[in-house]
Amino acid sequence: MRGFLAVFERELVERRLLAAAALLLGLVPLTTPLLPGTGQRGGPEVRNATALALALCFSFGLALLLGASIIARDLAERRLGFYFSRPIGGWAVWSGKLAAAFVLALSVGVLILLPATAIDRRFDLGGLLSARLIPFGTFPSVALSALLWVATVLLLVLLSHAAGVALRSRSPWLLLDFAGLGLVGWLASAAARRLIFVGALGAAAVATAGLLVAGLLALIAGGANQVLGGRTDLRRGHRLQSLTLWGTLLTASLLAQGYASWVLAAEPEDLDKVYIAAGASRGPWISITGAAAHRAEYQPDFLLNVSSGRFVRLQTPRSFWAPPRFSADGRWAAWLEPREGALRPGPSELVRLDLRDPRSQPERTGITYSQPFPTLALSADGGRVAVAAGGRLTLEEVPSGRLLASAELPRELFRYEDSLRFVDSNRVQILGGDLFSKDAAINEPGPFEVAELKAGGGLVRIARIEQVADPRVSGDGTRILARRRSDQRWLVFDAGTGAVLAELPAAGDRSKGAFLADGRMAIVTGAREKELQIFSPAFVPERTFRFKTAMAVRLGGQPAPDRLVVATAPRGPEASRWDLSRTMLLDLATGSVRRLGIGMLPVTGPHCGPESIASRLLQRGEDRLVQFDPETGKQTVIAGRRSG
Amino acid sequence: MNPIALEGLTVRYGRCLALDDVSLGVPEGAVYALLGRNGAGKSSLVRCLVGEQKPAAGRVSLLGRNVWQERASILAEVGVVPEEPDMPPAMTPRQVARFCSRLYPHWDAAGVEARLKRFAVPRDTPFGRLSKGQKGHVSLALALAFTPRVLVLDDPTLGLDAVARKAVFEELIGELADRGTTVFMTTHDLAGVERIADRVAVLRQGKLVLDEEMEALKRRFRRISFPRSQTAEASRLEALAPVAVASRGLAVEAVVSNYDEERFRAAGPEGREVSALTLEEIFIALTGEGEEQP
Repeated sequence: MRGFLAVFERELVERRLLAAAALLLGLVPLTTPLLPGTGQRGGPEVRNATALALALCFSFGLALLLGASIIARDLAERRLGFYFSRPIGGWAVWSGKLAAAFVLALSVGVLILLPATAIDRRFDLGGLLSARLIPFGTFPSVALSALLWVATVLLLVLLSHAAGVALRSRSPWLLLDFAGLGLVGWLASAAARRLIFVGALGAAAVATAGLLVAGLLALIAGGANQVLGGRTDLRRGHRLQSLTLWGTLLTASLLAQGYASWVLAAEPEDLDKVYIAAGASRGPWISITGAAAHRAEYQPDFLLNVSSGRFVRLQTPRSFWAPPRFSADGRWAAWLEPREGALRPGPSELVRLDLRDPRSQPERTGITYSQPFPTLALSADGGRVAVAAGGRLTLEEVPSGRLLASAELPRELFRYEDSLRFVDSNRVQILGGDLFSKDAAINEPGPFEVAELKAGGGLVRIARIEQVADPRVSGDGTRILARRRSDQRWLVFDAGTGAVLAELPAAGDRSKGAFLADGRMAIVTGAREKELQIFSPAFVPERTFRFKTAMAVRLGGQPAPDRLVVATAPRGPEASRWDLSRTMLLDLATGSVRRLGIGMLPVTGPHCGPESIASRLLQRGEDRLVQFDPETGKQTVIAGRRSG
Repeated sequence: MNPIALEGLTVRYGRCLALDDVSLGVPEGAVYALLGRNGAGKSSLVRCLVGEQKPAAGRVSLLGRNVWQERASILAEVGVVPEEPDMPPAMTPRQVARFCSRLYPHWDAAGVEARLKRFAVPRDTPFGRLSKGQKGHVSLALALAFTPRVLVLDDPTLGLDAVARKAVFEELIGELADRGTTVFMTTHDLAGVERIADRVAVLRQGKLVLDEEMEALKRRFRRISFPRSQTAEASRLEALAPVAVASRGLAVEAVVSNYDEERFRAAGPEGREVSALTLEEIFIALTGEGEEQP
């Protein structure tokens, strides 16, 4: 300690004139309000901003200058022996000198600020930093701003010390420095890119923070080793510094790579929050997403075969996310993956997977889309894909990418482009209109339209329905179920013409309607208690279920013929309590009800039939997906936490 | 136990071998002079000796301890005078003395003052503006200020004029007389060191070619000259280990390194002349051949 203090004090005393110069420099900002154009109100702000700018510039500049010279120059001029020929430890030499450089650089900044802060008690360091000098990020407090300042000065001192030693030694180890810089930079950025590409921004931030800490430690260890081990031998010191610095950083970069690999290797079992995104209408495949445990909120996406447990990881970042589409025959899944990473929406590429081949891997089709956030639909056999994006609807062949049809979409109707379906492999329908607007303030809703694009043809508007709400299209695409706004009555329309096929004896402004997988229709009505009415495909009322305590009803799929999953929620203090939902299996033929459990929700809508595994899945809390047997009611966890 | 002991010291700079397996020991209280031409490896040896440089191989023991590992604590008892005075140029001798005084348990501030006064060194002039001689004097004054058990001097008179050299050696003699300090010195001032050294070593191209008591060294080295006509005499010199033989006009001069007076008188021819050698002449005879090292 005696040696450290002696060295530290000596360096400070030798450069004591810097303090006086800083104080003088601190008087300069006081003259800025006198400058023309600053105005009476802007004067203090200009003064404070000038003071801060000067303080930062000189502080950082001095950190670089002193860091680069305080040891390296002594070494190059063979004056470090002055310390090493005396009873001063190498640690004291290194730390005393660099601590002095750090304190000097920092105190010069503080001294420059001193006059401005002395005459303005409202001097807002954080505000000035975020508002005036550093356009990105926010600095909510003086303490945080000061901490950032201190950390930057420390980093600059250490960095310039390492660079100063490396450059002054002029040894061949400089080549290692450049090689190490390149390799570590490549490894670190590759690790960050891998995480960012799939939207694991939290994990990327953890990796980056780890690398920064490792970088700081490497600079400290490298600099210390250079002085402790190299002593007055500049070349040996440089060699030790390089080995320590790049050894540490290389290790850290490899660890970052390992961390990235570990994060990205998350499996469905690692999800501590799990949600189903989509289910194939036929077969055991579903797509799930959720937050992976201990992975900084990374949300991987999977295709999961519920029967076999096989899963395929999708490279789809959150910012890009759209659920995969399944072909109606259950053989193909297709989705979009970004071509340039996840930080900004950009071009995407269609990727598909053959679900029937147990060894298949995701296959990039080469079909790309330049517009962000396209809406996707897959034909029944998976051989064609329709995409609505950027005001254009296209029909293409997979995987050849041959364009079969393309048409511009009327912007006034298809602003949201969120309902796209194949009628057959040659025809694709898009459904749209102001009804899709979530804007409840629209008093005069626009029409609901169905347009169709045929292979080799143009867009044809085939149906137009006026003054309806909550339109739903049947599974075969031939009918539309919607609520007439004037009397809230539910109507069935012909999707091909827009003609009314039937008026159902069900109404209510809060009522909901849906087609079931088997073509029947379900209408939920009632305010204080809910009533579920089932209509046959011929519009005949078949059965009514009453839920006396329910304030909301959610319809699930049809896990077996004549069965329907339903969840009801009691009213909570402010809204329906879905966390206390009662889930039950209705027998549409007999009217019997079997309770499946509390706090579970069906993961799919009533369009999902017995052929889809999704109709037999329930979301239990946020952390589990369970599959139930529609005959026995037995439940099995298929994703998420297995215990508890 | 020798206060200074080197075992198998080897120093490399890349492919260049600066010191090749050097071993030596300096007894307590001795004045040890290490001689060698420029580039022989003296300064490398001194840097290793004071723990500034790590040798490629070998062990350096100072005051019985490993100097690389315990440099800081050892140097509390070892005064060092570097070849190139390396004090911060902005510091005055007074400031340097104050700085150093904090590092040693015993510091003779008055002694430093007295020495600087004796050397006529201005105490408040920045070190960078002092003459080379004055810088050397400051270094010596500081090295002696804490009563070191060992004094290591790396060519302390390099570049000094005759007066300054004399002052340095007189100071050393005074110091030795007073305290009996062990001194390890490298120097090119052979005449100066001849007066005070007890033991002499010679480095040649990184190898220690001589390490001997001064008196013994001077006893066994002689210059023998004889007329060129008595060439048969030359073969008799073989037993005396000639290290240099040269023609000087009509005479031949030989420097022998194993001179034995009785043996030589009994066998010697007429007309021969035998004379003692100075340390400088011995050094030249030992190292004078070949090119100077870079």
